[in-house]
Amino acid sequence: MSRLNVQNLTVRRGQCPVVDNVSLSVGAGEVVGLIGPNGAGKTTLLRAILSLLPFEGTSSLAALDPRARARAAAWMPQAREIAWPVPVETLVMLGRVPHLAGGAKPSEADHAAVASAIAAMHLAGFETRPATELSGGEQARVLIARVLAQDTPLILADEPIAGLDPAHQISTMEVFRREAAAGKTVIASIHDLGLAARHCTRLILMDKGKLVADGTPEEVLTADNMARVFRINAHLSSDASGLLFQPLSVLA
Amino acid sequence: MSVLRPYSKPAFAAVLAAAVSTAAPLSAQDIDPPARVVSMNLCTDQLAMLLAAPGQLLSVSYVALDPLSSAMADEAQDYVINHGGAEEIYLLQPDLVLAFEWSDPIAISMLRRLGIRVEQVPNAYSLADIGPNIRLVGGLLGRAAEAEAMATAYESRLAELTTPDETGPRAAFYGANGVSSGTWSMSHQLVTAAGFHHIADELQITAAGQLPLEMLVLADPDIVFSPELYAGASQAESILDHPAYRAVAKDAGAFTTSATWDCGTPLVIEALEDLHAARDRILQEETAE
Amino acid sequence: MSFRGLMILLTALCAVLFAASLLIGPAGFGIGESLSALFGGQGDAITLVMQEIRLPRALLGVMVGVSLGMSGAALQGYLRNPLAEPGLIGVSSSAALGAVIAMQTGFAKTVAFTLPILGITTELTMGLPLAGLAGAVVSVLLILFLSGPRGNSLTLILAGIAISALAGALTSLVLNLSPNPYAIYEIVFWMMGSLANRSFSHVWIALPFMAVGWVMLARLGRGLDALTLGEDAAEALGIRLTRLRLTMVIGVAACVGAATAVSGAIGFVGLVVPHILRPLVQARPSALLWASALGGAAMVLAADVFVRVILPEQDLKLGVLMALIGAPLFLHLLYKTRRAMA
Repeated sequence: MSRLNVQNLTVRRGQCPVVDNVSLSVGAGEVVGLIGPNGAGKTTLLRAILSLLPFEGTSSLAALDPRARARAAAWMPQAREIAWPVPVETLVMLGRVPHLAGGAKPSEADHAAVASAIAAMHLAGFETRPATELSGGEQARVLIARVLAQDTPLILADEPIAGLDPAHQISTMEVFRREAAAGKTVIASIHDLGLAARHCTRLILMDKGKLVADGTPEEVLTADNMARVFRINAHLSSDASGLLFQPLSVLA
Repeated sequence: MSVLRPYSKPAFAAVLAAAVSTAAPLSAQDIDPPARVVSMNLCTDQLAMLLAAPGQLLSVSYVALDPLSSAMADEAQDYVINHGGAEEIYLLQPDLVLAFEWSDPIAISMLRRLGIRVEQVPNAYSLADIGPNIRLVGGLLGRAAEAEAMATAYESRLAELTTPDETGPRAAFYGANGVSSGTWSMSHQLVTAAGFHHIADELQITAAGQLPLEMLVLADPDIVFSPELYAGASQAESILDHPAYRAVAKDAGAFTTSATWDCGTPLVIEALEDLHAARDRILQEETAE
Repeated sequence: MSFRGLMILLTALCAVLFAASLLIGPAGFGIGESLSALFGGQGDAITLVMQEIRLPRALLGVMVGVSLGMSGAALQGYLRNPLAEPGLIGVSSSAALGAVIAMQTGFAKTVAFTLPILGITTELTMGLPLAGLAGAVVSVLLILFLSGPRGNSLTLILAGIAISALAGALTSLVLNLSPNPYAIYEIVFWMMGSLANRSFSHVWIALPFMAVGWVMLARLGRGLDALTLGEDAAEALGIRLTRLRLTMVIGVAACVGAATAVSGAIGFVGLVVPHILRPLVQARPSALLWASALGGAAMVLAADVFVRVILPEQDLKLGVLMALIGAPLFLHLLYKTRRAMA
């Protein structure tokens, strides 16, 4: 079953296409890593999929009205903005906005969703702390918890694990995998190819706005792709625990 | 309800004009009267227009043209208009400039440096100061005899019209921004001379200042004096549209003061005459009730 | 303190200050005397003072305070910047410019309605608040255009300085060109604001615009909460940002436009009140909106009582007092946000 269907999506900045004729389809249970060098168009693609900017082509999410879209997909932007010193619990509760009727008080189910998201991101004990007083990594986890609390079939996240310590990078990827195992779908742009290789079920490689590879990590992280797109030399192997990927050197 | 207005009667100005015109054009006893006189202040404008011989006064200030401030706005149209600037006055080549006690000191000192004779007329703080001022300006213009006649006419009429009465009708002043006159003002002297009791006495207001509207309401005046409204709206004057003010003014009778109140000239006699008429009418209404 | 507790406390504070506003004045009456005159109606002097002078003044204090407090909270929530305030970013001075132009062109006396209010046929002219609203709309749109949707402090304050300066200069120009010699003296009124000598006609002309503004701003709560996460996240939470922006602009313009048209530009209310109350509502923008409405009313009422107590004979402008309280706080906020501005 397809959770997201994107056909011939193009985003132009002036005349220049930033995302160039991308088509993809993502099903339930997948953890998709969106990889590519800086400026490849990953963020723009994700925002266009959510109809946050004008584009040509089709996205199944963009066709929904805003409220239905917010119940179908959660979005974690790259800019980790927390404008006011609201308590962590209140911030995570913002994920329940699409589920609440205007002016309604949060129900038991809303509180339960918030509590489980806080637990999943190891934020127990932080509930009443002002979110702005936490460290950068802790804030990132609070924002991921907010996305989890939205409890949508599809999660789109723009560099969710950037800036986290290794333990929380790994545990966050594990949370995504757990969500996927429960039937959800996660699409996240990731710069750490090692984590992407180990934790994603599928990788999509972008370069200069174009989708250049789409498949399992082994299929995408080939020496040829690494050389052509990232201009790096890398080591890829696998053992019982999964794939091991390590960039080694920059190609001349 | 009564709305009292200054009513017309043979203007005292005509009496004054008659006093001046009976005399010869330029008195022989003055050896060298000034021939090109410029006045740069509203009050000296009016004294000069009243006293000068034909052709002797060249220019008056622009304020003299404003009927809301000047009691002689019509007469002022016959003169060159100045704005009190040293340069424009110098170019008129006057041999006498009449300025007021508080006229722009910079313009005055510049004119004096340029060799122009500038005479400053003191402020009239009371009705009694007006006679000496008439004589002073008359002397400067070489019109001492005419000035003496005018001052005498003023003083005798003033004596007739000065009938103070502490128990008379209660009078209040109220203008833009809720500003009211105090006991130090010429307005206070005019109403008390005409036999009114000014509420500033009991409220112990000396200098002009703002009187809260609720204090005016509680003072319960028999008559409220307010200036004429200027063209063009101002929020300051909108207080005279306030329902509480309108209620007081309606009960008390509203009296619009005119330009004759503004300067210490013999024309204040007209204001006094209007005040006496207003007082008579209030007393008649009281006896009729 | 719970939100409900805070709201009850603020309501009680407003009630006390409203009573103080009615009972304190240059003419000292007893409390019983004042209240019987307020609710009676024998047409004597005390009745006139209570019903026509003090009551409209106290009511306007509440209305202006609610409007300015809510507008400040809404602008700050939308721009995610605690420095955004109608007075500081030029909305109030632009509204004042609109009102001054309306007075000088005669537009203020147009758009007339004759309405039976409390059994009395009253003629009301809506030109003044309409013009204030128009001035406010222009400035809010300019601010949004100049400072961008994210409300960066530096561009916001710079845009505000430019708009305030221009509106202030044009207000002075219009008043200078007026044939009325008193007009020039009211630059202070329009720049600083006052509730002195207001009457019920001011209440009636401001109320419809303010009521529309309050309803508009009250609807923003959910969107402002979501905006805590930024525009992208808010939009992905189902908030229609275009509609939110339009509602905010019209709501703020209606509130500030009407308030300024009847009381001049009273600054800093929308800065001080949300700043004090933010910690008490745990910084939730939606809760702050309501708390600032009551807090603004309390602040303006308190300031208006205070100007009558400390200098009863002088017409101390409300805005002067607000600036004395607000400007140091503004400097403090600037100091705190200077890193963000660098």
